[in-house]
Order: sequence, then structure tokens, then C-alpha cells
Amino acid sequence: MSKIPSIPPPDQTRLPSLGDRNKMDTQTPDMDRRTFLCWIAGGAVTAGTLLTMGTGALRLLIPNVHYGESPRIFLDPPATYPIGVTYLEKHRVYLVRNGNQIRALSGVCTHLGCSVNLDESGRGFHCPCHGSRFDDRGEVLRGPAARSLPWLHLERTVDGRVVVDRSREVSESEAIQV
Amino acid sequence: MPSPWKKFVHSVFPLGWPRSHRERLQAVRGNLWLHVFPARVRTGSLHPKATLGLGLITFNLFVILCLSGVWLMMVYTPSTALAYRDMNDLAHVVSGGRFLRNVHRWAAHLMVLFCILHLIRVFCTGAYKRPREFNWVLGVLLFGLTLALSFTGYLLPWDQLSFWAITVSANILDYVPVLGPPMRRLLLGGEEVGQAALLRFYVLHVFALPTVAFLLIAVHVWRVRKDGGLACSDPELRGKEDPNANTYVLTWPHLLLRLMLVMQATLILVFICALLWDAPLLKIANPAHPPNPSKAPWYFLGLQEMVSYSAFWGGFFIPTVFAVLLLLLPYVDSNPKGAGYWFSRHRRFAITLFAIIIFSLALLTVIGLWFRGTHWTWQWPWGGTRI
Repeated sequence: MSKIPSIPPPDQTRLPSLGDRNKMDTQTPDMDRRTFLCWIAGGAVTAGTLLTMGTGALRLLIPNVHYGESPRIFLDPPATYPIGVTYLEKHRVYLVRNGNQIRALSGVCTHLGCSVNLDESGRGFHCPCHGSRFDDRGEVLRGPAARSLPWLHLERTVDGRVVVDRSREVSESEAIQV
Repeated sequence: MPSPWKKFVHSVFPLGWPRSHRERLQAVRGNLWLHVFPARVRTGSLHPKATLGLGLITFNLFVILCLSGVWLMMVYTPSTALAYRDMNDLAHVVSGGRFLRNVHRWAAHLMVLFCILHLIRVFCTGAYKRPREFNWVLGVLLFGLTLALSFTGYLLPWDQLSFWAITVSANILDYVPVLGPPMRRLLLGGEEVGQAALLRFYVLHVFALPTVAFLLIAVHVWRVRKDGGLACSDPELRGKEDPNANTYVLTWPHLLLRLMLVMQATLILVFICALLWDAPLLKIANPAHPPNPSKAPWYFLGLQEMVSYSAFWGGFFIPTVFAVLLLLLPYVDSNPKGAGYWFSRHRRFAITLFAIIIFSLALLTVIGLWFRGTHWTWQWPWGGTRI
């Protein structure tokens, strides 16, 4: 550093400090009525315009139509599903068949929405993202999930196929007969 | 009679190549790009120990990201049907495509890293103290933007990592009281991560966020000069103790030369990383099966570890408190002493507290990185026993 030739310091070009500002403020005369009213009117127009534009811009981004899959999914006749647990990959739903009763359990973890896996025993469920565990009835065995996996509403079409409505949670006792 | 060529060159560069001290001063002041720098700098600012060049490196990475990003845009389609195919094309079909994507990915990871290092440096030298409070706030906002840029870029390859990272983080918003669920719908453009989300993330990633970042960077750099240069060579802060505090040299060539060396070094670092390690690409996004385990990128692993205890406390409460404290730090820390010095002994409390926080975050990240296996269960990095 010592080899670099030195030159004199520049003028102060800093932004003013709070002290400088306070000194300046005492020299500013008070605003008269006309100026004050102009500021109020101008401010109101500006605020109104920005508010309207902002609300409109935000509203535009909220979709009015969802083009995704319907929450109601149409499946095959109940007898086609084997006894035990069947994972409907496309819909993230587990069909649980117990003898002649069929019920549907949501396969979406209630913690942060990962798809849960059937665990090693083939009865409970295990989430790969944060390690939540659920038993074969969807009840929480271990967190971080706080709510159990919901049972979903089932119905039958006139030609005997199973319909699962993923938007309707029901109690565990609701089932359809094969 | 000067030739037409000379006349043209003169019209572009009326000052010409500067030959004297006076002309070098004018060259910096009279150039739109160079005038973000002062025309002369204190010798103390030029010492590598002053800043370690961390902010400059971060800025260089941002430039590399913008340029490589524009090139990537030429071969990428933000569509759930085509995005993953384009990624494979980049790796196998496009000339130099693999290298281009590697450069973009490595620059992105390094930018997050250097943002963090820069933040640590500014804290440890107390450079956020009066009159530089607002520039710290700008810096924290830029750090947030860097994370947002990384986050939005994550979705674009449309592989398993993309899909599940965004699904999980969007669902964290559901734990935010009142505003969370509408914010999630606004971000995703629907209930689930799909085409609408991909398009929104793309627009944010390639246009909205970089533009805001560019403007904030401009103000951030300009304020360094307007706040009186670096804290470490500020005579008001360092007083007469520092013999170099009031020794000035010209920006052209002393600062500019160092600037170019750091730029070269940054570029070389990114190129070496890009040549040695390929950016990963998992299987195409599949909503039926998350990868097991499904891990976030390293800078979000601490968050993922916290979320694995509680989505509300770990995913919303603690990060929000942390972000607010970080933003308000210069106004909360009322101790005026120690600005411009590394680890000043007048700031023992602040530095200890900061070290504890940084250490905890690093610990959480290390746990997420090496101590979590399938189903996020505890495992030792050398394999074997679970707790």
C-alpha cells in the first residue's frame, strides 16, 4: 500500500445526518392552508388510483375456474378391488377393503401434503418428507402431523361403480358394501 | 483533419483513455457505470481484509446468473408437458447445454452461500451501524430475494425435487394465520402445484424478481458510497487510530483493477464447479410418490429440519421472528461502538448471540444433510443404527 501515491481527500458528499435535517427543518416555514388542501386532494386521488389498480391486479391473479381434476373420482365396481389396501396412484387415495366393506382413506399427509407410503407391515402409513406415521385407521402414531388422515365419502353410480369424493370427509364407520 | 472513425470514437468516449490523475478522476465521475464508485477511495478499503470481496463476488454471481439465465430461456418451455424434456435436451442434445445448466446452478448455489458470508462479514465488522443502518436493511431484503429466486428456480426443471419442494413449502403457508391460504392460492394459481404454478414461478424467476433485485442492488451499491464508503476506513468511526484512514488513492486504476481480478476469480470458480460436477436431475415430477427421503436444497435444510418438529413453529413462527430481527438489527442494536473493526471487544454480547444463532442454523443444516435417512428418520452418516 505504501507505494501508492497519496492524493488529498474529497469534499464531503455524504447524505445528510439526522442532525443536519433537524437544523434544516427549523428553517422551513409552516404550510399554508391552500398548499395543505392541495396535498390532501392530490394524496386522495393518488391513493384511490393505486388502491383500485392494486386490488384489480391482485384479483386478476385469483383464478375463477380450476381446470384440474375433479374432486369426485370414478372408479371400477367395488368387487374388482382385492381385500386389503390398494393405492390409487393417480388420485392419491388408499382404498381399504375389509371383507365386504370398502372405504377410502386420503393418501395426502395432513402435515405438509406429501403422499404417504404404505409402511413395511402393509397396514399403517409413513410420510417420506418429515416422518409422520399413521396407523391402519389413519390415526396419528407419530408427529409432526397433528390431524389423522381423513376418510373420504364414497358412493355408487347406477351401473355399480365406486365414486370417491375427495372434498368430503366422513367418519370411519361409513363404508359401501361389495 | 481527424478521420471519420476518430470522430465517431470521440463522440462515444469524449474523455478518451485517461492519461493523468485529473483525467482518471473525470473518467470515473463521467461514466454512468463507474460513477457508482467514488472517484477516490481510502487505502484501507482496498485491503482484502476489509470486505474479503464478498459483496462483489455476490454481485458477479448475479451477473453470471442473469446472462446464463437468458441463454437457458432460449431452450426452456415453462410447460408441465415440455419442461422436463427440455432439461433432458439440455443434458444430451443441446451443444454445451449441460455446461450452461451447470453454470447456472453452481452460480445460484454460490450466490446463496456468498450472500450468507457477506451478511456474516458485515455483522462481524459492525458495518451496519450508524449511518449505514438502511443499507443493512437493503442487504437483508436482497438476501430474501436471492432465496426467493432460488426457490422459484427450483420448480422449473419439473423433476421430483421441484414438485415436492414446492408442494411442501406451499403447504407451509397454510399454517400462516389468516393470510396464508389466500397467499398459497395466489402463488400456485390453484390448489395444487401444476401448470398455473409453473407459469407463475417462471415469470417471477425470469422477470419480476431479477428486476426488483437489480434495482435494489443498484441502491445498495450506491448507498455504500453515499454513506461514506466502507465502515472500516471511515475516519468518523475509526478516528485517528488508523493511519491509513485519510490516505486516498484513485479508483481508476487501483479499485478497478482489484474489481476485475475478483470478477475473473469468480468466473473461474463457477466454471470449475460446472466442469467438475453436473447439476442433478431426478425423475419427472410424480404426485403419487415423493422421493424417499425428500430433501430440500442445503440452504433450506435447516428449515426442513425445524418443520419436521412443527409446521407452525418451525415453518412460520421462528423464521418470521428471525427475519424481522435481522431486518431491524441496526435499530435494535443501539451500541454505537465497534463499527469498522472485526470482532470488536466492545460488542461481545452481540457477537456471541449472533454466533449462537449462526451455529444453531448450521447444526440444523448438518443434521438435515447427513443425519436424516428414509422417512426422515435419524441415521448416522457412517450408516447403521437408528435412534
